[in-house]
Amino acid sequence: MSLLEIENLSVAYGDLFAVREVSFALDEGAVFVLLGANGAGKTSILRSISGLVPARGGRILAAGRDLRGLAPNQVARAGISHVPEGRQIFPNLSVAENLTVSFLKERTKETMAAALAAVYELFPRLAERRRQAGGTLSGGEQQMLAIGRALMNFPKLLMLDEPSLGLSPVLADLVFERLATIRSLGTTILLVEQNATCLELATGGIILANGRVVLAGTRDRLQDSEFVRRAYLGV
Amino acid sequence: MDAPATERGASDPAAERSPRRDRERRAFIYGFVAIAVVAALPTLPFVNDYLLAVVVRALIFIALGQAWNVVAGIGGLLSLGHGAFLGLGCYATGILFNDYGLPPWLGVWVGALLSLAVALVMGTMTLRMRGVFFALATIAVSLALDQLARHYVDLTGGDNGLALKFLGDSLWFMQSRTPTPFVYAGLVFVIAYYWITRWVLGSRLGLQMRAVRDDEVAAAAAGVGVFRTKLLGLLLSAVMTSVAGTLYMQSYQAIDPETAFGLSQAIQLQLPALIGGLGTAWGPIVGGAVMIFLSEATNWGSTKLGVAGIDILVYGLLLLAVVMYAPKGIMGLFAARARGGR
Repeated sequence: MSLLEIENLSVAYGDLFAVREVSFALDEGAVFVLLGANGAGKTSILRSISGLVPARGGRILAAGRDLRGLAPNQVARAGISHVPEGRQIFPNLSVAENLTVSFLKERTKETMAAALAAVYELFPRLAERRRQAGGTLSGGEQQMLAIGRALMNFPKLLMLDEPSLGLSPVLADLVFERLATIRSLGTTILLVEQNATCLELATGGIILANGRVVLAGTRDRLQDSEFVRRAYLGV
Repeated sequence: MDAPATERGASDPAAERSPRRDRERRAFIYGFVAIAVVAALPTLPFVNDYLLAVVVRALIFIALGQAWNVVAGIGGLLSLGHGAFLGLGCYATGILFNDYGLPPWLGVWVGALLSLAVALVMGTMTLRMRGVFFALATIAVSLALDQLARHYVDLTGGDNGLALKFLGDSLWFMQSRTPTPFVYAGLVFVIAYYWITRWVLGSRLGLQMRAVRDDEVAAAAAGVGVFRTKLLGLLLSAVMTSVAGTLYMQSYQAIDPETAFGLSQAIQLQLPALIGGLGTAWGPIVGGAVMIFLSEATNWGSTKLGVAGIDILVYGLLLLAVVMYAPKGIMGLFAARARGGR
């Protein structure tokens, strides 16, 4: 059974369909990439998985359980963490509070300290700034905070919406490097990107245009495809 | 005390703890001195009943401001109709006492339950929506209660309002000829509400409320039950307001629809937290004291000058000044100075 299976998912805002009958499946340990231009429907797919927008049609199965109709906090409790687009951290909460607010497991001093320590080990920068207000962090640090917040529950699946957006190439590389570490620690990753360089990290993915799947396959297949070469790599 | 959110910690972990603890200790000392001064006031020879009545008024508005601060300051939900809960507390206590002889010790809980029910209905209907719907609904509920209070004359006294039957000094019926007992009652309220605010700020609920205030979508993505969090904050605040309403009723002995549900009352409930500092435990206390002091001074001034309504003008100017120069209130100014001094 796949960790996450999307069957004929459609998402619409009023009469406007953002996603039309998209299907894909993630196995445990995968880094699955949803690649596409602006408005291709990538963000809508993530938002419907995490319950922020309702699915108009299709099914969203996590380990066989249909997630449709669950509230976002219930999806998070089911082990699926979402790092929303645009580094949505809490600017007036301290770094430590930003992290602990999302901690949902059995809440004792010890379990929370362990989760915090794990995140701080991955992002030492956050430990240094743990008392600082989230809004005072730099762009890269805020992205790390958003990822760290999503990791506090040791999710089975981590979904990230354009984590490299607005970051310098060096910082973007650092973020992808950390994602590789997170994956090696056993978390499956669903990554939304406009930037095809993230394929380096991927095991597979799909390419979306106007809400439909135009290409699906393993990393090599995507990288070698004429479509990606022309549209994303410029070669 | 500033909210932890506004604090920028020093980089050295050893050095960053001590200023915080120093501030805590200083706040504790200030608080203790303030309590001692207020508690000693009725025993001083030069303090007359007028001055004590002003102190009672300040304490009541501080308590009401503390209650509003929970939902609006910590939770970021702009309630423009908290007068509804104040009025329910007043009317419930007053009607049950006048018509059924029920002491306010029991009436207070009936009022609190009514407020809880109204807040539950109002919150369930509006808190799932984002934006201004909640704020508009709070006004609508106030207006509706205002109309009900004017309509059911037999029960509420209609436009003329409701006056408590006076039985003389009685602890059981919370009545007194002098304001002195209400100074102590008000003090108990303010201290209790301060600790409730501190408890909320330090609790998981408070953290979730502040997260929702910052960003609803991110809070939902972080696993916070946004609707549930907002509703709990509203329910707590409504009950606190209603219970303080009973104190209001006992100390003023009368209530009318305009005083309970009118817009100017709703605004007065917000001023302590707005002036003192939204979302902080000390804000409504400092803000409420400043507000009542100014109000009395301008009242006195307008009587001397023979011009009515100066107090409203001063409120307006004060609010403008706060919004423009100290958006985080008086406590925000203190926090900024504490940071600059380090």
